[in-house]
Amino acid sequence: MGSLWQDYVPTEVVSEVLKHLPRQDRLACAMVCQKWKEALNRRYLWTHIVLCVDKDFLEPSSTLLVGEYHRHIKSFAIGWDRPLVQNRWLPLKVHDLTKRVVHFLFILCDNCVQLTHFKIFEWYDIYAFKKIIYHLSRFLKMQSKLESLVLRNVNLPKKECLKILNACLGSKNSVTNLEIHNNYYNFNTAFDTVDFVNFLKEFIVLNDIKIDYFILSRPRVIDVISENGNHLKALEIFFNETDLHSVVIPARKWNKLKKCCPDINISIKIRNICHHEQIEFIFLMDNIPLNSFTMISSNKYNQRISRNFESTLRRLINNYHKTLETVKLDIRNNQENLDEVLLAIILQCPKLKSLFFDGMIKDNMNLFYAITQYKKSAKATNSPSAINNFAVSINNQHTEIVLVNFPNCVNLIITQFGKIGNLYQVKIDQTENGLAVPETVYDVSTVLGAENIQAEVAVRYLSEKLDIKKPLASSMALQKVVRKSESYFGQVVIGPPGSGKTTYCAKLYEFYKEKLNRTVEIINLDPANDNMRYKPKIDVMELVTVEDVMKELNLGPNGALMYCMEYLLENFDWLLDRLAKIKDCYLIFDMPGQVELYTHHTSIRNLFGKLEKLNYHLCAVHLVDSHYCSDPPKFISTLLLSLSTMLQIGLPHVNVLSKADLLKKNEVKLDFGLDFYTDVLDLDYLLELLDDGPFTKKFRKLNAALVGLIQGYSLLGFVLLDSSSDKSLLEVKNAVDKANGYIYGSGEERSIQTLLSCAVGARTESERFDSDYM
Amino acid sequence: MSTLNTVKSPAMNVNFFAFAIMPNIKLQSSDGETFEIDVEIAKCSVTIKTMLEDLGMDEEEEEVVPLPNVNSAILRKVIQWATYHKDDPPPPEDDDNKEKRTDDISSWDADFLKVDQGTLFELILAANYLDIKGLLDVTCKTVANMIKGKAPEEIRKTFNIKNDFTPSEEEQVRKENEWCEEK
Repeated sequence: MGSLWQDYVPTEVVSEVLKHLPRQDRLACAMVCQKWKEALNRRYLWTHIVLCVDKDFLEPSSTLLVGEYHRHIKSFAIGWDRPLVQNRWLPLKVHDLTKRVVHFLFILCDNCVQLTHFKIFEWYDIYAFKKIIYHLSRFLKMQSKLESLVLRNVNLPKKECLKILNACLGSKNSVTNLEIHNNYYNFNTAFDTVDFVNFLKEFIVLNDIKIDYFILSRPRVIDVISENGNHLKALEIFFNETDLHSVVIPARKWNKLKKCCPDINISIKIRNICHHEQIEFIFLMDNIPLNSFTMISSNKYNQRISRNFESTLRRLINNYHKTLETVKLDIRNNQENLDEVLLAIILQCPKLKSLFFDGMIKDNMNLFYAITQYKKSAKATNSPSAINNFAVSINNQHTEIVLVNFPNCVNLIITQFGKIGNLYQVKIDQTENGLAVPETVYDVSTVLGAENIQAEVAVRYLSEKLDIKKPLASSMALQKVVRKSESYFGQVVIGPPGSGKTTYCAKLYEFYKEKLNRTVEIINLDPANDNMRYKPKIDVMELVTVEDVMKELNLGPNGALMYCMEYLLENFDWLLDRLAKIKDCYLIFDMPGQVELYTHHTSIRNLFGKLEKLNYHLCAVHLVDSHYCSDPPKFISTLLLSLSTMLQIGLPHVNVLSKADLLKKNEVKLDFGLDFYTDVLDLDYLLELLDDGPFTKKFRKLNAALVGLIQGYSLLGFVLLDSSSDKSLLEVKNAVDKANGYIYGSGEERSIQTLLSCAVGARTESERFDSDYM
Repeated sequence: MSTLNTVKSPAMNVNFFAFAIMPNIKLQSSDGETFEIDVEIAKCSVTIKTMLEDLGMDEEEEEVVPLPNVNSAILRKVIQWATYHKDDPPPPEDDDNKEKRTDDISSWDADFLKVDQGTLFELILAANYLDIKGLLDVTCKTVANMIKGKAPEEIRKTFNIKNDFTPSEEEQVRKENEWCEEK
C-alpha cells in the first residue's frame, strides 16, 4: 500500500503544510523524501525572509536552506529578537555568531540575490557586531532594485548608520518607500549631518515616507523632502517620548511642503506616550496640514501613567479641525471621560471621514445621536463621506452606524457585533393642531423581532433628534444574546436517622404552600424512605432503592445506601432532567440519614456542588434531635457531627435542634439554659461537667482538645425547631432564606430596608408582623 | 407608505431581506449523494464561486453542482465547517513578514479536526480542490503541528513515508549539515 503523504499527495498540498513551518522544521522535511524536498521549492515559501540574529543562527537551517533557495528571496529583514542583547544570553560566542551571519551574507552576495524590500529592525549596536554591519552594507551595495527600505528602531553609531544608508544609494532610482523611525535619539546624530541630507537628496521617486519627527526637524531635512517631493503621496510622522530634543518646524516649511507635493497626505502617529504635556509644544503647533491622526496606548503599556488624553485631543481639534480626515484612537481612558471630546471631533471636523475609537464611552445615546446627526448633515452637503460606514467602539464593542438617505425614506442601522436586534419603522403624522406649525408625531412600530419598549423609545428619540421628514426604517442590533439565567432556591434537609427530617419536610411543605404561598416541591433523595408523609415531585426510589441493591449486590443497609448515592451521582442527568421540568419552585430535598454520607463520603458533596454550579442556591438544614442536649458527651458529639458536616458539605448551613417542644418541657432538667445550647456559649462550663462525669473524667485531655477544636472554628449555632408550631417554622424559614440568599434573589418583593436589616441581623417589620400574626 | 413592502430602497433589500431571497444550491458528491445548502455558504469555496459566476446561475432552476473529487463523508464535514464559519470575516492576506503561527487554531476547529489521518488528508485535498482558504489553512496547520520538532526519521514514521533518497544524496545532505556544524 502506498503512503498518502508520499504517493498520493499533490506537491502543492505539501507546500501548503510547509508554509506553516519555521525553517528548522522545513529543513527536517527536506530530508524526508524526494517529493517533500521538491515541495520546498516554491517561490512563496521563500519570498520573505526574516532573520533574528540571536535566534535563527543558533542552528544551521536558515543558512542551509537559503543556500538552496536563495533565488526566490525578494524581501529580507534582519534584526534582533531580544535587542539589548548581552553576551551571556547567547549560547554562542559573539565571534562564532558573527561568523555565521557573515557566512550567510556571503551566500547572498555570491549568488547576487536582488531584493525589492530590505529592513533592519531592533538593532542596538554593542560594537561587537560591526563586522555584520560591514558585510551587510557590502551586500546592500549590490542592490539596484530596492523598492522599500526600512530602518525600524535601528540604533547605530553615526558612522555605521551612514554606511548602511549610503550602501543603498545603488537603488536610489527605485526606492519608493522609505521608513526611518522609532530610533533612539542618542544614536540619531547621524541625521544631523550633511551626509544624511545628501543621501536624502538622491532619492527622487519616494512616494511614501515614514519618519520620526525628530529626524524631520533636523536642518534641511524637510526642505530636501519638499524639493524631491513630486511623487510624495504620504508622509507619516512618528512621535516618540524622546522627541524633546526636536525643534519646531516653522509654518513656512510646511506650506512649502504642501505646495511642492499637492497630493500629500500627512499623518501623525503617537504610540505609548505617557507625558503628553512634554511633547505638546511640538506636535500640536497649528501649522501642520494634518490629514490623519493616530494615538495608541497599548495594553502592555503602563496605563496608570497614560493620562491627559483630553487636552491632547482638544488641541488636536483646535489646531487641525479644518484638515483632519481620519482619527484613530486606541487608548485606555479609564480615568477620563472623553465623550464630549469625541463629539467635538465629530461635530467640528468637516472633512472627517472616519473616527475609530477604542476606549470607554460613558453615554451611548448622545453619541449615537451626534453621529447620526453628523451623517445626516454630511449627506445634506453632498460630501462623499456620507457613503462611508461609520464605526466606533463603544465600551469596547465595535459598533457600526449607517445612515442612508433614500429619496423616499431614511435608513438607519446601528449594529454591534454578536448582538441581535429588531427592525423598526417610524411613520410620521403631521397632526393639524390649529397652530401654525403642525405637530409632528413619530409613530414607532416593531416590524421584525420581539417588542422592546426601551428600544422603541430610543428609536423615537433618535428620529425626533434627527428631525426626519421621511419614513424611517431602523435596525438596532444592540441586544445581547443571553439565555436568561434562572436561579433556583431550595434547602437540603439532612441529619442523623430519627432526627425528624421527613416530618419536617412534610410540615415545611404544608407551611410554605398554605401560609406563605410559595410554590414548593419536595424531592426525595432517600432511597430507603418508607414512611413518606408527603408526595414527592421527584423520588429517587424510582431510580434505585436500598432494598434492591441489598438483594442484588449482597450489601448491608449502610453499604447499599452508599452505593445508591454513588449511583445517583453517576446518573446525575436523570435528576437534572427531572429538575429541569420544575420551574419557579422552591425545592426541598429530603436526604437519607446515614451520617457517613455527610462526614466524609464525597458523593453528596459532589452532587450539590454540581447543582450549585447550575444556579441552584441551596442551603443545608441539619436537623439534630434536641434530646442530645440532655447529656454533655452527647452534646459534644453532636457539635462535632454538625461541624464536620458543615465543613464537608460546603453549602450554606443552618443547624437545627428538632423536637424543641420536648426540650422546652424538660428545660428544668437541663444543666444549662436553652441559650447555652443554641448559641454554643462558653464550652468550658461543659468541660467542667465532663470532668465530673464518672465515665468521661478519664479523658480530661481529650475532652479539652475536642472542645478546643469546636471553639476554634466557632461556626456553630442552633435554631430550635418545633415542627408543630408555625412560629418556630417561620424562624427556621428566616434563617434558611438568609443563608441561601432567597431574600435577595427571589421574586418576593422586599424593600432595601429588609435587606439591610437582614444584613445587620435585625428582625424586619414584616418578619415581626409575620410572627405576631402567627 | 404604511407597510415596509412598499419601501423601494435597494440597500434595504440587501440588508434586511438577504436571508429571504437567498436560494439554495445542490452539491453532489462523488458517490452520488446530494447536499442542499445555502449559496452563501457554498461560496466560501472559491471553486464553486467561480463556477457559479462563470456559468451564471439561474435562481429558478434547480441545478446540481457535481464535485467528482469529494466523497459524501468528506463533503458533509466540509459543509459542517463552512456552516460554522459562514460569518467569519474574510481571512487576512498572507503577511509573510509575520512569524508563522500554528497554535492559533480555534477550539471548535481543533475539535472538528480530531479525526484520523486519512480523513484529515482527504479534508486537505477537498479544501485544496474546492479552494477554501480557511479550511486549508487550519488543516495544514494541524499537520504542521504534527511535524514540528520532529527529526526526518520521525516524520517518515508519522506519515508512513519511505526514504527514497539515494545513498549519495543522503551523504550530501549529511555533509552539508556537518560542514555547517564545524564552522
